Amino acid sequence: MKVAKEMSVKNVNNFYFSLREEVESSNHVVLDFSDTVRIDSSTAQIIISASKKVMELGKSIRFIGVSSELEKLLKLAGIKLQ
Amino acid sequence: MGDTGLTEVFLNESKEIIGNLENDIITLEENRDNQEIINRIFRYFHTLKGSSGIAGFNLIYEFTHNLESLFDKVRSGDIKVSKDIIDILLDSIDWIKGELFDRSDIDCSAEIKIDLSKRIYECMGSIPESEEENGDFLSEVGAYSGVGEIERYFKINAIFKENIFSNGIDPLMIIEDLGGFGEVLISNIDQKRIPDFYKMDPEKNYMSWEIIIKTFHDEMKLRDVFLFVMDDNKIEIENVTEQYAEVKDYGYLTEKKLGEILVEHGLINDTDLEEIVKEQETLKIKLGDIVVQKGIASTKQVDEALQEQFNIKKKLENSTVRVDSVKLDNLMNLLGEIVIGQASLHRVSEDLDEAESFSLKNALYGLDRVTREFQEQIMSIRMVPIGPTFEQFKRFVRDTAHTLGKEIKLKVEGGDTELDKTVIEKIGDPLKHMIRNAIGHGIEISSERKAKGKSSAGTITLKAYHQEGNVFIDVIDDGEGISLSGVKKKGVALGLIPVDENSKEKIISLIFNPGFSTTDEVGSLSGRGVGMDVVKTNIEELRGSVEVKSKEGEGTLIRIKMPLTLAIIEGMLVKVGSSILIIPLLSVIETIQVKKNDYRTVEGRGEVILVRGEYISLVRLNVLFGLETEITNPWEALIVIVESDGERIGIMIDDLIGQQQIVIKSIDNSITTSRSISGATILGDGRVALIIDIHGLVEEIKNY
Repeated sequence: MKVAKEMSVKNVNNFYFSLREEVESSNHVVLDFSDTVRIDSSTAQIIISASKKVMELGKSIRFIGVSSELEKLLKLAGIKLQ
Repeated sequence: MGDTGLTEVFLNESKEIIGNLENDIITLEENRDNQEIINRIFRYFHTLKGSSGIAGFNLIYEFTHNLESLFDKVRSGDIKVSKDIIDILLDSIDWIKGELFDRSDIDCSAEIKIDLSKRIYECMGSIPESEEENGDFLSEVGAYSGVGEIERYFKINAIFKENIFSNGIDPLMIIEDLGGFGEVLISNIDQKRIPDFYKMDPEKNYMSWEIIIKTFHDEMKLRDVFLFVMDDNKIEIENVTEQYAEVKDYGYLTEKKLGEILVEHGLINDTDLEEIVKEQETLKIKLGDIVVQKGIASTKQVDEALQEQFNIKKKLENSTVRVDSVKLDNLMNLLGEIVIGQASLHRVSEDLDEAESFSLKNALYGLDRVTREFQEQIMSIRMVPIGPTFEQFKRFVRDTAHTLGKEIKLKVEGGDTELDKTVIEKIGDPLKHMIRNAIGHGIEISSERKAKGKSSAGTITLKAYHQEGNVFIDVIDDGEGISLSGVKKKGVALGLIPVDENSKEKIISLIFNPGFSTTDEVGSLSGRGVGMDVVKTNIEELRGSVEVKSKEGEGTLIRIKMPLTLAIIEGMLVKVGSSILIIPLLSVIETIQVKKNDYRTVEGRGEVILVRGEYISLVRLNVLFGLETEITNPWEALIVIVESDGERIGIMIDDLIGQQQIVIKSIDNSITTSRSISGATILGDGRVALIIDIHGLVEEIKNY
């Protein structure tokens, strides 16, 4: 699933529902951050919660295309790259 | 530039960091994906940058800033470790070393720096930042807050309200801003506050942070970041500098439990941890297993945390206090004076009446015990592991091997073996000579090795271990070995051995002769015949010995044997005339009396005595040192049999006084240049006794 370039509370609902579908339909959720330059707290908390959920369901989640800048941000947001 | 004290601290610290960097870079070359080494190198550059800024070494600051940026890209995986990068890093280290410790090439320094910076930018695929952009380093490292000011650590708890997004505030951005004031060491999210994925409202905030930040700024500066959210949200800032006081690069001065590390990694929060600990107490299984079973973390994540815990523990164990070695020497000298003072008191006790003598001896007995313990403690402080000395040769081997087009690996074993610091300081040069020989003469080029069925890369092994109260250092190479026939041919040509000499040991020992070399061609590396004789002399000055074993086509082993310490020895006190001399106990085999019939004078060998069927040379100390004695006949005297390098000699003495620990005092060359004397000590009655150097004595006899 491709993540938008700039993630904020303005487009977080779209992201949330797309991710819900992905979590329900796929055993291996992949979030593609190739185009993403920034995420905000609203996106971060969804990713954290989704990660917990896929673990509970015995599924997996993976992040790809993470730039070094974004990686720093993800780390600050408490998201560990798998 | 900063004040001298600060500069000195910086230079000392830099020397250590640079040494570690060199080792890690060389290791990285062979393990290019090792993230742990990559992270460590990044941290070293970061520390070097910060310290240089504080100490006022602006050029170093600027340069290490670039190296840090380069390595940040390596760390994030944007740039792969390549030979080019390794070369740039090593060349950069050389430039930094030159800038800090050797300003002899100052004219070229600026040019080299420009060239290196260009190479760094090319690697990063970016253009250099302007000087202006780099100019704010002082504020970045906190220099404006006062030179030498320590870093502060703050713990920040930030719980934001659910509706904070509607005010256009993003907590993550606030946390990011905090990072601008220092380094965010720990960033924990309270995951308990984040609801189930299916039950969350994406537009509501559930995020709250616990952060540990390292900064030069004060609390007010940090509070400013929360200016617009302070009133409506729960923000707590606590100064935790004492708790997190950093010990250089050794991490933080607290041992950590696995749970704490998992919390730091953001895998669990404090509440989770409490629950897991309770479960652990009930189930009696390991915390890591519970975490994995519950699916909170993967086995790999737990293993990583366990490794981190182990590393912290190890580093804490290695925590040291930096002490000027001169102070240590002074302490040792003072202890020597105490030992001498005690010996004086023992002597005084002999002159007292029985009751008083008994009381004094009793008191001295207790004092002796404490002094001995004290001495052992000081000795243990003087003992340092040889590992860092070994490690420093990795760079030397790499560069020299590259120059000669050879492929050579340096293997280090027994780096934890401890030696007296004086030995460590003096062993470097001899080791370098031996390694240089192994690279130049020993290890073959790859094609030659392959043709012989050997691996393409040669190995030089440095191995240290303790055995029988001595320290052994082996330098082993799996090269072509020493050609016995070549050494013999040269030895015969130089008139050092007869044509019919067949003793392997004697032939091989020729390599220790001054000027002896089987290589006709003089190169930059070896072939001048200067080297192994220097090695032998240096080792013997350390009261050690060198032994060589070699097999043609298979390799060479050079074994150095040295005493554990150079400061104190167990000595045998002997009397010759009215003088007292000391023979190191380690060299003594036995003390005997010879019969008149067992004494001979042999043409070409001088005086000899028969000991267990073997004639050994006899040395008269009175003759050697010009002492007057009434006992002139060997059969009326005592003979101390000593051994050096497998050669035994008998030393003629008047009487044996006893044995005791001897504090060695060095003596000036103006007093004696005799190789038979290694130093002196002060006896209890204030008299000076000379210490006999058995190696030197044997050598001197050979030259008679």
